[in-house]
Amino acid sequence: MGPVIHQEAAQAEGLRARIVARHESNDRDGHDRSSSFTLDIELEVGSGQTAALLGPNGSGKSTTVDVLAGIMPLDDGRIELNGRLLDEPSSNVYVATDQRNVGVVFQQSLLFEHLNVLDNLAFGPATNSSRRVARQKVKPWIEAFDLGRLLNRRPSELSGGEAQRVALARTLAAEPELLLLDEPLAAVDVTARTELRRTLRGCLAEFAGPRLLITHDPSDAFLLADRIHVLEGGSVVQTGTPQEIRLRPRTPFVAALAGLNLMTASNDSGVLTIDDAAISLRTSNTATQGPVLVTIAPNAVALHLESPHGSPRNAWPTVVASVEPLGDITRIGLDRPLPLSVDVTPDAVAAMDLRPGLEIWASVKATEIQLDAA
Amino acid sequence: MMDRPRHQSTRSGRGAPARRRLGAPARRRLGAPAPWSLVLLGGLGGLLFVLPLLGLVSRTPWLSLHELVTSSVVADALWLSLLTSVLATVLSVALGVPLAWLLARVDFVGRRVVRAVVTLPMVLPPVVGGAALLFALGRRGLVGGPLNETTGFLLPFSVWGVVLANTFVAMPFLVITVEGALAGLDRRFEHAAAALGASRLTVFSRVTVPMIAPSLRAGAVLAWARALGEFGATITFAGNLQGRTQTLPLAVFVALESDRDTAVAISLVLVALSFTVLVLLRDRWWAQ
Repeated sequence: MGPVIHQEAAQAEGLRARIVARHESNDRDGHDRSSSFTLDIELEVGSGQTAALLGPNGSGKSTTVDVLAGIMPLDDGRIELNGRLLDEPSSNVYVATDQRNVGVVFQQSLLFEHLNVLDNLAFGPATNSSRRVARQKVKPWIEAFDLGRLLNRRPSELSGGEAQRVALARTLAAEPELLLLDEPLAAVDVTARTELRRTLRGCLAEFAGPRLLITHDPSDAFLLADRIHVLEGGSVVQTGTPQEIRLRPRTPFVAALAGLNLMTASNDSGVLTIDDAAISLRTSNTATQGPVLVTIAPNAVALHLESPHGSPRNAWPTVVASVEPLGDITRIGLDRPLPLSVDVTPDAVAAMDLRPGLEIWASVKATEIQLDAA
Repeated sequence: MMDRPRHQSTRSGRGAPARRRLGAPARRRLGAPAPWSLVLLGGLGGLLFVLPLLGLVSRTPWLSLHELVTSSVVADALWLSLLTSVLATVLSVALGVPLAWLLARVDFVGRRVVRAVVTLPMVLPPVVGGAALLFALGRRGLVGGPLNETTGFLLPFSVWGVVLANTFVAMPFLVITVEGALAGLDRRFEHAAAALGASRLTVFSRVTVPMIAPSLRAGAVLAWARALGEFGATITFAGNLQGRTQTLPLAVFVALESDRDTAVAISLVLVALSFTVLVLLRDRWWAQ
């Protein structure tokens, strides 16, 4: 009996949800009535896993956040977190938001303006202990997020990046079982985004429970998530690892989303060592040193049947992993050492007879490799 | 741009004022002159408020003013007015804020009807309100009758009667103001608080109320002002007993028939009191 019970407990870990809910367009002009639809998705996120729900505006992302957080009830389906039923219309179960232990980081940090940063952080702990104890409890989070010098400030005196860091710490300080990140980077300006993304990555790694990232930005999803659910018009059109989504996009929307090749690397005076890949590339950018985010557009990669002449410095032999026709273009997935998506014309596919398993050469100009500090 | 004129004015002595006027953007009158028709009508509107005040001041017996104001009738009425208007404001806040919250946040059956009934005293003649209070809470009233029989407690013709009459006419102003603020509040702040583990009551007291504080203060001031000036409901429901239920407006009414000088003096006290409070509060609280 023992092992069986153990197995059940292991299965119950994490978030399991079938979400059926009416999605109303929050378009205030009301002219776009057609965007009301029924959201119907299944989600399963294990403890220690990061899933991303990736979709365009109006695809049902905010409704998903609302039902998981208990702001809105389900119409059908069920939500279960670590074996505890949170919402199931058929059995009349509905746990209120404050009893769910679901931590939410919203796009607008939603810090309370009448409280300073310290009391914002202590808000969660203060709901079940004295204010003094609550302030003690948030100390580790103040250190972890480097918020020491902001504690006496009002939220309106913070920059967008700072406010979001405080919001993140405030959510984690409430010790949630599920971490729900609703477009956490969308309202932050580009310069602060890199740093905040790094903070986010660190805190996702630290958080032991299931994590769900809701985003419209493919780079966030590809960089932060173990698994991506692509949401389109209220349904999940594709689920897979970032790699699978990139190499085998099932709809034009996913193909467009997954078009960019994103990876992390370290830049040492123009020599890029790509993480988890046995290859280094040359870049013309020597200013952005250390850990970097590498973006290579799929049309920046050239394919050759033989070692290219004129020896462009970034050329390497590889194998075609997949060939996906996507209308006007065909997306080629490359295998090791560097799994990239490459867009070529159908003519080129025919001319080179590109097919899975074919040994070819790939090249990319040093100037076409885009770098951002990671 | 801002610095140069200032610099010039300090250097060039006598010519400075004219140059400063040219250079300082805040002092320039921009745009076309106001249309004369609007100036005329607006001016007439303003006159309507200024003229009665002038009338009052012109009839004021300045020499005997101190004596009149410190007479027992006036002192009693002033104390009673302050006490009852403040108590009515406290009661309006204590009951009106939760009522406004219910109207704004809980979708119950008959919400529209309740909202209409709550705001009725704003349009109802206060005398009618006082009469209705009497039928409900008077000695033989719907609730007042049994209450009097069992406990001996009698609301009419008591200080509590005055407070109740004041609250009846004043609270709608607070409810309307607060409900409007609640409707305009971004609900996601409340959702964020709930997601942090706060119960509905905690969200209400630690997030909702602090966030609508400016409107709550404005509503409380409106309610207080309305309570201070209350006449019709008070005289109908609580009577006109000096030292017990005779507030300043009632004292003015009585004095107008017998002793004009006293009436003017009391009126002046009311004007000064209201004006001081409104100006002070406007600067401190309404600026937001």
